[in-house]
Amino acid sequence: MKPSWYVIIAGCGRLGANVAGMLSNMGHSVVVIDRKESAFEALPIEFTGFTIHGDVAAIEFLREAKIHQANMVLAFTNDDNTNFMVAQIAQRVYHIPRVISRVYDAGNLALFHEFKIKTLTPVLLATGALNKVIHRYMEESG
Amino acid sequence: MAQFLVADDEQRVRSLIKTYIEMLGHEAVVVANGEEALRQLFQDSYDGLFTDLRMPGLDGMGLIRAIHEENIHLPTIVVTAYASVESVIEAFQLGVVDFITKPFSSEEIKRAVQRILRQKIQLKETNQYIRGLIEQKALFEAVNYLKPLFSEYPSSPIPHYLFGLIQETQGDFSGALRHMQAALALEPGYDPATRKIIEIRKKIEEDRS
Repeated sequence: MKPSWYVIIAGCGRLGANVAGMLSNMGHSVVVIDRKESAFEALPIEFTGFTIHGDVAAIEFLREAKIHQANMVLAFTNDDNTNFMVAQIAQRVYHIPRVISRVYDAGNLALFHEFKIKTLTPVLLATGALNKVIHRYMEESG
Repeated sequence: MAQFLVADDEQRVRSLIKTYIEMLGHEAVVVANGEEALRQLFQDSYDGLFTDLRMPGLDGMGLIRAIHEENIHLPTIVVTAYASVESVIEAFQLGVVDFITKPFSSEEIKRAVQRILRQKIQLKETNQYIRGLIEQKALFEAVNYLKPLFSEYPSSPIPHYLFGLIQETQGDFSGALRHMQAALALEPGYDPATRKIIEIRKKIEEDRS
C-alpha cells in the first residue's frame, strides 16, 4: 500500500479547497475545517475527504479533526493571527512533523520564521514568478 | 483477495473507504443506504461490511439488526461521526466488530480490514482443529470447541457441517444428514456438505439392506 497521509487543512478558501482536492486525488485522507459552511462549496468534485464546520481558533475542532494523528497541517485561513495559532498548536502541542502556514502580510514573515514555521506567501510567490517572466522577456528582446 | 460492502450516504466517504480497501488489494462495492446494502447482501457474498449509522431510509442500526435477524454472518465495522452510547452498546451486542469515528485515516481502515480478515482466519483454523479432533475420535472435546461457533458464526455452514461429522462418527446417520442439509441451506453449493450427504445416504441405504 502506498503511503497515505492524514492532512488537516485549516481554511477552505481558494487555496485550501484546491490543495484539498489535489491531496485527496493523490489518495491522502484530508480534513478541511472552515467556520463558514458555504466555503466547502469551493471544494472540487474530486475531493473525497472530510469537512468540519467550525472555527479553527477553537482547539475542540482541531481535536475533532484528530489532529494528533496528522502527518501534515496546513494553516490556510485568510487571517495571519489564526494561521500562526493553528501552526503553533500543531507544531508545539501535537508535534506534527510538517506544518505550513499561509502568510498574507509579508511583514509578519519574520515572526513565523522566528518560530520555525514554514510559510507560503502568495504575494512573494507571485512577485518571484513575475520577476522571472520579466527577465525572460528582457533577454528575448536583447 | 477479500470483498467488502461499504454503506454510506456521503459519496465522498464511501469513495474514500473504497479507495483505501482497494489500496490494500481487496475489492469494495459501495451503496448509499441500508436497503441497497441488504439487496447486495442477498445477491452476493461479502467478507465484511463498513456502514455509517445515519443514512436516509434504512439506517445503519436498522441494517445491522436486519443482518442479525437474517442470520447473515458478516463482520461489521461502524463508521460514524455520531454515535449514542445506546447505539454503541446495541451494535456490539449484535456482533459489530469495531467503531471508527469520522474523520478517519487510511491506517484506521487498514486496521479494520485486518481485524475482519483475522476473524475469517480464526474460523478456518478452528475448523481444521475440530476436524482433527473428530478424526482422532476425541468427540467430547470436539463438541466443546464446536458449541460456541453456532452463536459466533450463525450464518456459516461450517458449524453444522462439523456437527454432522461428529454425528456420522457416532453412527447417527439421520442426525448427520439433517445437519449437512442445514449447512447446505445456509450456503447453497457448499461442496463438503453436498459430498457428505451423498456418502451418508449410501450408508443409510446399506444399513437398510
